[in-house]
Amino acid sequence: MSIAEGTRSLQTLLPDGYAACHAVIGDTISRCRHNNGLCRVTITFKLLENSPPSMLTSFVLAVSDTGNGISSEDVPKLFQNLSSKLSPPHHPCSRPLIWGGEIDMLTSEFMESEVRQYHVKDALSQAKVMQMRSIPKECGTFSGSNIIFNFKGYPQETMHYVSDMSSKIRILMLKTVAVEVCVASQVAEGTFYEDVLLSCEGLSLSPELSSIDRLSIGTANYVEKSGDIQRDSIKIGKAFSGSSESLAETLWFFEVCFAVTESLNTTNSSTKIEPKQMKVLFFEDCVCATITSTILQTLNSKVSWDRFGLSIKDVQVTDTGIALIEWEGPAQLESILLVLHRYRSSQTMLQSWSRETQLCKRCIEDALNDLKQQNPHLFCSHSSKELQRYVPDLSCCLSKLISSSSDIEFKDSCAQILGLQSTDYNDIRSSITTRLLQVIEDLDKQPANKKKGHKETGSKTSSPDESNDNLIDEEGDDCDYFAGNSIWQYQ
Amino acid sequence: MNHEQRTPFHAIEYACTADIVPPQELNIQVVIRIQSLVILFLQSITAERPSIMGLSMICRSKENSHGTRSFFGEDEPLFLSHLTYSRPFSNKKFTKAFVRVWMVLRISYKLLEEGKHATQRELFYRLLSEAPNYFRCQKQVNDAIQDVVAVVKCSRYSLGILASSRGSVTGRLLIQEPDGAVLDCTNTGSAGQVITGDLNCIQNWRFQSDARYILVVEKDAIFQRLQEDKFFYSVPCIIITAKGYPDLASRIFLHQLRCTFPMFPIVALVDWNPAGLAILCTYKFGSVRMGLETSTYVCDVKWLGLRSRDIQLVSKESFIPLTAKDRQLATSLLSSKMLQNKKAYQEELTHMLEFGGRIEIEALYAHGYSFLGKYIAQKIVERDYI
Repeated sequence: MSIAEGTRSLQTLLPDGYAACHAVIGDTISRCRHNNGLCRVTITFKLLENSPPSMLTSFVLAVSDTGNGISSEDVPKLFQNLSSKLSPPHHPCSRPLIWGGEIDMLTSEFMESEVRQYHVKDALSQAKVMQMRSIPKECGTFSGSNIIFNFKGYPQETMHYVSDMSSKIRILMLKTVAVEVCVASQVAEGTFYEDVLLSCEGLSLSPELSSIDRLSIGTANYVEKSGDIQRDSIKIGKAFSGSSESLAETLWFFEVCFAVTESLNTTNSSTKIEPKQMKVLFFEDCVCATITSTILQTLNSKVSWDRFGLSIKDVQVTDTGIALIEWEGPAQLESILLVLHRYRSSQTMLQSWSRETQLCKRCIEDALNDLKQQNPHLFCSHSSKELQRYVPDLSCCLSKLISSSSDIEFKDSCAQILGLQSTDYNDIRSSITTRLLQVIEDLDKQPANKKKGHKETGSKTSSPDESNDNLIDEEGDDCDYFAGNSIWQYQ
Repeated sequence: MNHEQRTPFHAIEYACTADIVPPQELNIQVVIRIQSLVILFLQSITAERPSIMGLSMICRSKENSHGTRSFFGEDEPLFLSHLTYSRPFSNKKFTKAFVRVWMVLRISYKLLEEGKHATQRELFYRLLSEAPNYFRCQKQVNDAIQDVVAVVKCSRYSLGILASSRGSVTGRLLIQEPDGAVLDCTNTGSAGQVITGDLNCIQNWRFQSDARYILVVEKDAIFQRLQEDKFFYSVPCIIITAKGYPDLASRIFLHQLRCTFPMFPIVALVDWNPAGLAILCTYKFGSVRMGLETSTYVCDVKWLGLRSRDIQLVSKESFIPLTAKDRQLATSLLSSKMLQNKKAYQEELTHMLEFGGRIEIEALYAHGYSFLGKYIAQKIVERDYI
């Protein structure tokens, strides 16, 4: 049996190292976010052996923060159901991360004179927390915590996993928490050289910026860096909502941000539209997580995509927990990234994410509407497109009526209303077409609830039933035969 | 509208009808109505808060239709009141119909300006070639024309559109045309004298007759049989058929006859089935679909046959079971406003439903071809009509 095979079979018996990393990093960021001040979360890889990071080796992963520290009472709670606190996405790492289920933790609150030390066994199941001898604070007053894992595995893969996770956290551009990933290599006995691989600096943005504005900046940055895309060509649509109308009663928030890119090559517009994929990143309490089935269902069947000219063909979840939505829409629309973030308003655990479907649908549609307001040409609804199809014929018909009239006074009146100098057929047609299209576009930009108010209704008897379009009537123009039946029914 | 506040003398004071504009005023009145509509439409799309003006039209639905019995006990026609609705462009369910109305309006405007007329069939072929995506059958053209009538509130004829006619007449009638030519309807072929679709022409015909009755026949085959048998010589009558549901021209023609010969009873021979009664009702009360145009052309047509008492004359083999469509129509007729005071008609319908079968006029041929004439003659002589 090879080492890899041996470690793989061992992994099935041991708790998942990646899940533990995910849970602890997520919990730390979430805890720090609810602190009053600014915090830094540092994820450090400390290579204990001098073997290359691509080889199987022992290493330490430390998640440290400059938060308020964890009180003695809260320590046992920290490890209770740690694994269920977050649903970690599956990871593409093929090789295992061996972990014995043990965690070392140091923490101290600001007013404490010492740093408490804990050793935790079976951290992801029935955590047994043992308090060790405390260390006196000799170098001043501070607070914070440091959670340490000892792993055996392939540091490079774990680094990749953590970096990927952190780069996604970067999208949120957190207002009070900075996240950085470091690698500490031993250069001499007891001496380590730290290399900062990645940092998430939401702190550099103006503190006045709201959470959703930060998310939109982070999303644009993410799209810009993940492809050769000009910042100017990225279009952002965003929306957020709370679980309750009253802020005091709001238990959780939902934020949605779309980043779309428009193809500059418009010659493709006439070619057959191929389905494209929309990537959906889901965050829960500031950490990326596997998208929930409720949200997936909402995306698949609740959101009125057609109001924005999009048709959903398929929704899938990848091995990495990211949802991929196959869509069809305007040819100019090149790519769509959707970022969803739900987070608690306080550190209190929630029984459930109440009104999740409703909130999710509303937020996504609001964000799409935001995009549509700015880019009506890209997000024209299906019904609007349908109406647009009739515009050339209608304007042609009206223009012919006007321009062929022998009544010069009437023609002049029409031209004057349209603001035209001439009564030329082409000028009239062009003006009517432009104006009709503008009205349709304005109508389409109105939110659905407002549009309903504008909707006019038609009479059943007079409306031609389109399904009867193929009916071949006889010469009998006055024949009430078809109408005959319906007429009597309406009496 | 409060339906309880009707005057007992005339129930159609608030009826809405399509104006029949005299030919000499066509350019003045109808053209201006269409022009006004265009200007209002352009104003709507160029307004400060632009919108696409819906087409406001008289509602042709049960909510807007009325039919009652006058103070003197006469049956009043079915008529439409002034309830309007707006056909929106923005509702995709109505968009195509919206554009169709404008297309018909454009052609109508052109016809009026040129002082010409076109039949609905001509209009259909013209629209089929110009806008095949909008017009695929005659019904769509007919519906669009009815919509235009409801928008502009002018009769088809006033819009320059002629109703194609299927109607024929035979019997003891002389028709004098405006140019002085006289048509003798006793000397027609078996198809009878065609009733023209030119409503103006019909209204200018002058009639002479020594008949005593006017017989309206549902079916062309029966009409031809009576013509070939020269039935009008044995019973002095004028025979008319519209070959099914009556077209406007046939109704106007019958109305003209009624005005010229007010003392002639008008009797109808239809199949004993709900559709037969519906045809009779269209002559008698008018229809909702063409309520704007036809309410003034109704005639007091009596039901000669076939009726339930004629079942005994027909062999059992001739009974045809009622279809679901027949039953649906019978139920609708039973609950219709116009038949509420027609107990005899209701009883016939109820009988049809209970009997579960229908009888066609041709079933009388079981007694020989000459029996049909004898049957009608006997009914007329005995005044056996309701």
